[in-house]
Amino acid sequence: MSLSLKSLFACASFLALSTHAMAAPKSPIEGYHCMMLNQSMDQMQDPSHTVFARAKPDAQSENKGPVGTVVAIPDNIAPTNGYLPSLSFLRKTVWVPADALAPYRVASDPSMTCRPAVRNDGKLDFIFGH
Amino acid sequence: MKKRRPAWKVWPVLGSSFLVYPALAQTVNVPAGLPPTVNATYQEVGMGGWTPPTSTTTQQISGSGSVVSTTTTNGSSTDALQSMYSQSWGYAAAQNASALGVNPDALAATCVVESGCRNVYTANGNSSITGAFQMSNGTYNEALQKALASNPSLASSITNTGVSGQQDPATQAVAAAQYLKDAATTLQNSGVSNPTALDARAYYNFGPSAGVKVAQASEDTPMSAVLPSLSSQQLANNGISPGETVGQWKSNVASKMGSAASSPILSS
Repeated sequence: MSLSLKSLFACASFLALSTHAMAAPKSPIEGYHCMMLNQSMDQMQDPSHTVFARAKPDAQSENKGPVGTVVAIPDNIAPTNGYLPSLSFLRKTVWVPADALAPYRVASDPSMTCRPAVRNDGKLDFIFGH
Repeated sequence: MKKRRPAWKVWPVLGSSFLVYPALAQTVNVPAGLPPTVNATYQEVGMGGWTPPTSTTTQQISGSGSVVSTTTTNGSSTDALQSMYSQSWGYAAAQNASALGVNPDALAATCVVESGCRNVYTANGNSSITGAFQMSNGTYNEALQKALASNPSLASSITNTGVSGQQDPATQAVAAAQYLKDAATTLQNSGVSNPTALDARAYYNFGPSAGVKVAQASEDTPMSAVLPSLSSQQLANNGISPGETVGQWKSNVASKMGSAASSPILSS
């Protein structure tokens, strides 16, 4: 009996450690959903097709870098001047062109789900599942 | 009949001929780069710890056998860099990278993964991607012009600024180094500090949007999740297996790059 309890405890500890090593701790961000960059692979590789995030909903405002392939967008929000607010890696608000985005759907795995999340270090991440 | 000479009289003569031989050597030249060396990426099981040499010494020897000059270069070069140096264009490519402030080790890591540092011709009706650094015509042109604008002195080392320069690896290296520099700058601005050759790999392969996302993703993220527009076939064509995570993909890439995987892209 004692041996089986020890074995159970050892297994539980191993599983806990394995899970910790495989999945970084993340918490979902409520009020946000995932969207994806609506580009083919050829377009993503073509520098002339790169879509940039902006500091404000204005094409002339500061360039905040390329829009990622997966973005976090607030729920139930309408575009402002053709731009939607989004969270940067450091969870600051940047603006992305609404017409460059599409609902999140993985072509190779259509049942995959996505939720915006935050890591322990405060950076933006995503929780993917099925 | 001639009397056979005793062995003790023959060996000194043979020995002295070996001693004289080095004096016949003229100079030590490596115009075509160093020969390929064994890549110590995987350590043999049971083998003790091993540290590669961290300096390279080159001696120039005159016709009389005397040493004219000795040059020692400090700092370890990666196995990827040695692979690039083994090509006739390797040193020129490294110099062009340095002129743009890009670490030659990071450039070499890229050519090792892309083509094994071979000047392959792979363009076809569907794709213009070709050369040792596997660049498309559009990316090559844009990056080359940007490089020449930032450092006009590079123009003197380029004989063909047209798109056919893609098949001249030293010229293509200018564009590839510029693209890596852009990748490093973009990744830095996106919260990835001191980007390495490995960090920039997805940017180089899939473009800026996917590159930033892969570099930022946690290790347990499926590659397919951050490349949502790619079909199963496109993932397979890029060596990504179903369910492969970002961590597994990085590990696979790192094993191909060897020690150069952790080389910072920016040298200054």
